[in-house]
Amino acid sequence: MSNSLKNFYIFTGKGGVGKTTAALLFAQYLHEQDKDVLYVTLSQQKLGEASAQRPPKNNLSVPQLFLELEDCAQGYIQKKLGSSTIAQWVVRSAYFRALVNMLPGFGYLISMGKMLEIIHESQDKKILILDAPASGHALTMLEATKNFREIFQSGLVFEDTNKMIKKLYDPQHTCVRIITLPTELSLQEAIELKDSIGLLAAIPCKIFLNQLLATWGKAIADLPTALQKKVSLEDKVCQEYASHIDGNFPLVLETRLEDQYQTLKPYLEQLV
Amino acid sequence: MKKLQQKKFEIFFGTGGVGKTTLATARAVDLALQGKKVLLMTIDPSKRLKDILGLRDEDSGILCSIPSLEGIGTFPQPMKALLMNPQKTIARMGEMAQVSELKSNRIVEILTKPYGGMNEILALIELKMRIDEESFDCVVLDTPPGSHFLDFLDAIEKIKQFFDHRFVEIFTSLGKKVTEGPSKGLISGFMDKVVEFGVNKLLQYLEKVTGDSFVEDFLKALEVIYRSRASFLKGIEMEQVLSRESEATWFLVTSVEQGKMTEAQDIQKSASLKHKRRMNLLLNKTLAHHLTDWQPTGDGARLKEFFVSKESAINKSQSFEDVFDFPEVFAASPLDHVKELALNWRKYAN
Repeated sequence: MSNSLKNFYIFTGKGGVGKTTAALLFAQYLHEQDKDVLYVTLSQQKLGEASAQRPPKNNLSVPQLFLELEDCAQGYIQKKLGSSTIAQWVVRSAYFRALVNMLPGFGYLISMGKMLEIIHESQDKKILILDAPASGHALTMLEATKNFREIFQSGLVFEDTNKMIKKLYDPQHTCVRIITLPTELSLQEAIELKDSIGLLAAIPCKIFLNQLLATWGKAIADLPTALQKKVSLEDKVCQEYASHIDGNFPLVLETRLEDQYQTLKPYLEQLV
Repeated sequence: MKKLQQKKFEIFFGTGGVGKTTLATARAVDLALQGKKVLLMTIDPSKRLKDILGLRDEDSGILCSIPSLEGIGTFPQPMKALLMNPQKTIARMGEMAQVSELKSNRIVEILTKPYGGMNEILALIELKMRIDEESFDCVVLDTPPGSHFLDFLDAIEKIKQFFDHRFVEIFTSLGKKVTEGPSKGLISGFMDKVVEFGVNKLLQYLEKVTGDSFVEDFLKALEVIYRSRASFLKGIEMEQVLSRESEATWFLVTSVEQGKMTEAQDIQKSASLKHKRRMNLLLNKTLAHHLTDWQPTGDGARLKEFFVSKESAINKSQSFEDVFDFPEVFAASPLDHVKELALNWRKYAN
């Protein structure tokens, strides 16, 4: 298994498909196998605004990191200019904020740089599991490096962006996991996203169906008609799109992440 | 049965994957079937929507006329559909303002890529240009998922910030100074510099990090955008219209299936900080009413509880004045979904 493990796993998908759960539980799974793994979520990619999203509260033992854009930006500028005072002033100035907030994807560039740096500093031993923003945003994020390489053309950021692209677009280093629901519409969108990522770079990208009712459908004899219809639509989608689907996860009824982990543990190896 | 007053603008927003686009399309279809002159505009066109409407990729950015939909019917007046294409919008703006560099500026070009992030600002401008050219009984606006809608509202703030004279003037005049003068030692005596607050310092630091061509290019981009400001300012007018209760209905879409209630409430909360107004909730894919007669035991009971409890939690929530249910559609084809949802919309028609 270790041979095929990548350094950077990017989990994405539409909101509410169980992306966070999959990413977090996969991180926990690797952690229990003594891998040096870190689960990462990002703050809002804007400066001067309170962060909305935090990782869900849980008692999982895997190390979890919440990356604040402001800290990443300040850290980077400090490194380049050699002064924390200047860096703090730059990041907090109204003009720098306007610049970052005007240039979409700039925030992602900064956060992504930080994540790749964490991997690099571990001499490529660390595995980062990124709970990435929902579909469209994920594409902005992946595109950001290319766009800003075009924008900058020279200078320190340009050189660093080039380094990032090497790692980010290296199929041995980075991969994408798209989580989606077992309906035709969701799956079509996942395939579209995969295609768009494919146009960007040869990043290995897999699609996983989540919350399959079918598992329950087979276990319960007297399923009402509505749920039976749901199951048969699922079956149809699974057959029709079989070649696009890289794995499945059953619908879990547990609400606590720790309980969900116990139920889903046997399925997590698929994500490697 | 709750009834719904149709207004000139209907805005659909919500997290991804809740059926927002399908519900918005169904709404447009139902209004068009009733003989209304409808414009359906989508900012995040998916391949699926193009398929439903029978449009091709090349049609994006063009106002398309749809006389009928297979299996649904012929519209008394053709339904108009517009799939946003930021690059085409910016080209039109450049023509109107006679600023040809607008579409050729390297930085503007990158920012107007489909995921470049200027989509929201440009969508408002595009909408304004369209309704100035042609009048509609109803404009159905499908916005990008999730916090994107807040970006959409923020677009106006961005425009205002941007066209604040101080911002542009300071950037341009000081920017020139910085790019003309030689870079000085940045680290030595930095305390002096920190005391002297100013954009020129910031640009020096930026230039040090980002390379010399960037600051100059960025200033050029600012300049061409500034010269085309008349079009951008149209977006501000549009926002005022969309904020008026009398002109626009806002629909927050969520789906039972995905238990997105907390997120929907968060979106509602942040949106209402800036916009004190009514919001309607569209609850998609409801299922509980199908399960009332089912009296299972064991695993079945757990499964039933799982579906029913999610829905009752939403119905008990007090955050929304009006909640409109849309039962789950058991059909594979997207067009069948639109058809059934359009029938459901009709139930709420006044």
